[in-house]
Amino acid sequence: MLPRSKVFSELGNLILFLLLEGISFYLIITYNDSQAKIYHNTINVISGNIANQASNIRGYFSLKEQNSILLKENAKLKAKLFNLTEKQGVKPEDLDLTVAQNQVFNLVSARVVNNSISLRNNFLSLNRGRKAGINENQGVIGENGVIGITKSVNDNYTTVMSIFNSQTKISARIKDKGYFGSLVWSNNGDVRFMTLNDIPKHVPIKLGDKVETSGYSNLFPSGIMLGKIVGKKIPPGSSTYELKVKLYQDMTKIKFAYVVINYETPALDSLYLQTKSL
Amino acid sequence: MNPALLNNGTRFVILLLLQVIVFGQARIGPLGPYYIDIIVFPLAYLLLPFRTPRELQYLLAFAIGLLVDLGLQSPGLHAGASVFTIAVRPIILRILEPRAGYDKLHSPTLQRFKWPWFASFISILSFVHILFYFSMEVFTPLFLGAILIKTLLSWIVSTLFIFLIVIILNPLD
Repeated sequence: MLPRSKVFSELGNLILFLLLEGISFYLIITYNDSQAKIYHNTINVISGNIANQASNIRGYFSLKEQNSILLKENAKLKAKLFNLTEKQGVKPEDLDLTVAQNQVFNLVSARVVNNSISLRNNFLSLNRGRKAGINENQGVIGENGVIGITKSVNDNYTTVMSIFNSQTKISARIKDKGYFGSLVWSNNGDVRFMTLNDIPKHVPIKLGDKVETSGYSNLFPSGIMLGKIVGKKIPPGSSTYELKVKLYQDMTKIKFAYVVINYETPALDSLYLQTKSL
Repeated sequence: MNPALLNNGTRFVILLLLQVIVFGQARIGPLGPYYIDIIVFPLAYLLLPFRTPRELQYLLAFAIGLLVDLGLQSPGLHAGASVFTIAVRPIILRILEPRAGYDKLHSPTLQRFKWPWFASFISILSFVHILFYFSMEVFTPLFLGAILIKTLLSWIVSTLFIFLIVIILNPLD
């Protein structure tokens, strides 16, 4: 007969076997490119599906709240529309809101099926993907501000690099003053605040000044309200402010998001490449 | 020095070098995408003596697999396949068990067994190793056909080379 192990029990052998296979599997998906891609794609699809189901179920419990949020947003948009028509003197139904050749932005609505805020680099998942017209490197906004930038897209799901990610930079300006800088997350784990850098120190800044998107990057339309300034300081030796911005958007509670599709991006990109190659 | 230790140690070194320096460099591709990898190093852990403790078998198989992986830049592929195959070895041994049973002090070498037994032992387990290897290499059941074709081709060639090595080097216990 074959010898029985003296050192470990059969169970111990099984554990050792699983451990060694686990290490191998880890090595495979970490250091082999094609396997890593397949693994991450598969996980993306599976976890997207699971998160979608979970979010479906959770959605029922917050229907009322979500409804009122959407109603409010609707009302805000209607008010904007009426103001617009009031100024231009046409009736709302006469406004040409259909897709015209000069349309710049389009929004795709999506549900947030997965969201992290506690990591150093945070990501979200949306339940819409390439089939809905989403691509890599498009802006994602929420009801009260910016949520992030799309990172990887498959047919049905999108992974979004959250604003709470060390790689995300949002071009932002101070409302009514026009000075712009870049809004980054200072990475301190506090998801209520972000930091606005690169505003020159000669600019008069008041606490309470509002911050909005600048529209200089073609990811976001200009004028999306982001937050207000609650703290300012000039680091020693620096010529620019370091402004603490309190966000309007509560990233811990977002359920819906809009992906911004900019029809001018291809044209702008090719122009940019042309300039760069000069 | 314990002769089993010496023999197995030598086998590990020789087969590791053979695999990495000679066979690992030749990826034969007569059929387009269905290339053949010649994998002979499983012989090293397959010939471990029957009395080797199971956990030591796992660790040795893992070690040589990992070393081959380092040499061939396929981290984890051969290590996983080796651990899986050495785990299957007792099952195959039980199936192939002669009426008289095994002598604990022996190894499954050609010195102790006849060709039919030895050939089935080696070919079954090298098939397990190569099947696991290509499953992990292709890494998706979508290309099951590719996995099976590559496995079959590589298995035939590899097993022939293993037999050749056994005939030339005639490994002992």
